[in-house]
Amino acid sequence: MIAHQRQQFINGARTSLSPAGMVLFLTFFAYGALVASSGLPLELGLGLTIFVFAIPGQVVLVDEIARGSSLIAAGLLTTLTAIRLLPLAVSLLPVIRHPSNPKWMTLAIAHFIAVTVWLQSMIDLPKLPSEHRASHCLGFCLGLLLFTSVGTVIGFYAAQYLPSQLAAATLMITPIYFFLSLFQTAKRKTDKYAFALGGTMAIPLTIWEPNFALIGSGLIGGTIAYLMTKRREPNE
Amino acid sequence: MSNDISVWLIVAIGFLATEPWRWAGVVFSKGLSEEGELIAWVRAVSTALIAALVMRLLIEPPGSLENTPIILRFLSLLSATIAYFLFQRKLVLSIFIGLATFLLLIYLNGLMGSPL
Repeated sequence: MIAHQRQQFINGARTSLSPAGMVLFLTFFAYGALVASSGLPLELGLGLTIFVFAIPGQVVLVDEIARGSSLIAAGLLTTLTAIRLLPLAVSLLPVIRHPSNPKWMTLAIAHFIAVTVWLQSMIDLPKLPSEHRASHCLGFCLGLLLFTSVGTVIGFYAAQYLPSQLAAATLMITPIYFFLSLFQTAKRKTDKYAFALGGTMAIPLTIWEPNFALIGSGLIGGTIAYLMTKRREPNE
Repeated sequence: MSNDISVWLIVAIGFLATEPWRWAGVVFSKGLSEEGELIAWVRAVSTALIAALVMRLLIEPPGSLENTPIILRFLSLLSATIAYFLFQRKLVLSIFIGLATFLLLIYLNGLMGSPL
């Protein structure tokens, strides 16, 4: 049994070498470059990668701190990006749950729940017997943690030592990645409207007052999108 | 920012802003409906917020990206988006096409004596 679980853990860790792992490496590389370009220390960048492990929240937090926002505003915006982890956890954990799983294992896996882990796990795990899923998933998550930490460190130094135009290009990765990911994750009508409204509203708001742009476009644009689709018809 | 206390204070804020939502997921994973109204609103707000973050990162960018013409940043995003839909939604490939477009345009802009 234990040998089986070790084998599952190793298989899972191997899965982190998949395209999903590559995408994460690239995004955390770009995030490391952002941390350096914002004049913040590596410990902060790496600490957030390990303890937050959710790239939208990390980018928001770093960008807000670099702009000199208050810690309360930065924390509030970060938490607004993180609430979306709740439904991911709610739908993923029943797939992993098994009576033989120790409690710490569930909590450890929960720490890594984010869009990429969720997407890949929902594809891979249902194919495995349920008593093997948690070990497999934990191996996958720890493999990703290694990747993303290394990506953060390399990105941090790349931004400092690359010629300025290449360094500028590394800073384009995050906005492009988020923008394309939104096409992937915004499947429902409400989310599509939110994507369009939030992006459009942010243009004048950023020009007028960058520090208000995220909270304004997020809360107002998101709420309008929600109300528009709620009144007309059910989602989908 | 160089002192250790503020670094760990910010890491703690990031952790406390994020982790409780995962714990709540663990607690509620036996009963909460994924299609609930509150969750639909939350998802809309965070989607709009991330879309806004993309725009702010392009309009008011960090670091050396600030010294590049804004039109090139948007053309780079546009080319990546076109590539994404042209090549079966391949994320990594599309990102690299966006970056290649960006570097090419910067190079051309330099050749023309930076008209942009």
